Amino acid sequence: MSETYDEADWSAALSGDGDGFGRLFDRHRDRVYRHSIRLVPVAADADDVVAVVFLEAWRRRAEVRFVDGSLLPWLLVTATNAAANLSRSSRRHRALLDRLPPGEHHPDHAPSFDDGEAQAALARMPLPDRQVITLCVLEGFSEREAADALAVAPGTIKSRLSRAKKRLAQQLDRARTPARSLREEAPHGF
Amino acid sequence: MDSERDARLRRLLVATVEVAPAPRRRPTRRVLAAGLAAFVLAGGLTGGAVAAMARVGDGPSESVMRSAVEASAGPFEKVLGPSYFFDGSSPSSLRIDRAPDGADRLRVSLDCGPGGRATLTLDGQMLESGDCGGVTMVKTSTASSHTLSVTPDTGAGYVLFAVWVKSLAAPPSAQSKRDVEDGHITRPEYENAYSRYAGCMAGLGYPVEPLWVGAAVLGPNPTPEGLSSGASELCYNREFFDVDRVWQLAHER
Repeated sequence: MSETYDEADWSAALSGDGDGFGRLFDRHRDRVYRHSIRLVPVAADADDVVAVVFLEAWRRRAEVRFVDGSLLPWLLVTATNAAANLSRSSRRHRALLDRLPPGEHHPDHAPSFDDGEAQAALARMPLPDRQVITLCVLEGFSEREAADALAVAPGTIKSRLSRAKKRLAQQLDRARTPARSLREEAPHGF
Repeated sequence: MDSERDARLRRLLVATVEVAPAPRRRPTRRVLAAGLAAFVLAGGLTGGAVAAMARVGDGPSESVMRSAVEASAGPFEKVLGPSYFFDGSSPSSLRIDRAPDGADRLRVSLDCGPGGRATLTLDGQMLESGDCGGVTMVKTSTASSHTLSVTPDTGAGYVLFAVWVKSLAAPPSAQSKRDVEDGHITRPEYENAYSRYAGCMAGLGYPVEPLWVGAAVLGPNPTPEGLSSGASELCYNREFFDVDRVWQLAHER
């Protein structure tokens, strides 16, 4: 029950206990990584996303949200945002990222989200779609939990999720039907 | 946590948190009353190699600790001059230049990761020994330079960070000064001081929870917004710091 401990560890970190933040990293690092690797072209980028997520969590600590006591939804949303434009999101932390040794990547253990088409389709979707698909479909959070994490009304999540699912299905359908016109793939604006 | 990258990132995250000003400054063992002038310049250390380690001020890691300090310092602490940083696992020493004009404290943070132990000295004077982690504040002196050394007990990795700062903390209120004049804090005085702190926080738009939960002391528990805004630092220093210090020392277990 990580949520049992997240708020206590976060509170400890805010009081100056670095190990409290370290425990949050220990608890959620793998989930953030597994999520991030779906959204970036190469595994090394997922390493950077993980680092950026936790550095941003501390830098933006006044904005951090807990959902039923868990920090994970906020971290996943932040990872989605960071992965959407990694060069921009990592600029602030580039000095740190450059100091870290390369990650160790084991393809056999890499998580898969249908490793090809679906992952590519998700990466092409608009950011709000990726956020809601991530939370509600891939990570299994409820619509209410996703609403809390994204600071929007539950009804917004419901409609956004419905739309995102349709778009994801369309993306996959198009990927499997290459003869279809590319002009249809332009996402509708938000 | 099975890669060197993860371990290094974790140590840096921990250090980033601990280099930030703690919202609740309990001086006890960590804030040293003695100034650097009281420290004896080093017999043993000057004979050893004093390596010039990476200086954050001109190195690639500047933004790491700078962003951590600046993000958390608020209006109550100003970072001055270069910073000093070392990330490694062997005994090491950093040469710390003279305090910049206006600086009144050297902020030193040492993190060894879970279970790590080390001895931290400044100019040969021990600052910390044993379980490491946290921030040590040392008052400044006019010495031209200092030597900050770490000897890890186990050879485990650690991150050492130091920077000169100028304290901009609010002075204690007149009532806080009166409360600690006799060197003793009663429970009513403690509760009243907390009420003043809570009133100060509420006045700034950041209400806090009650002090007591049953028989246990909850202590200041501001919201993250109250912390990051600097409101808690302001109110705590003004209304509760001195009283809390005396109370905590008297009830330390």
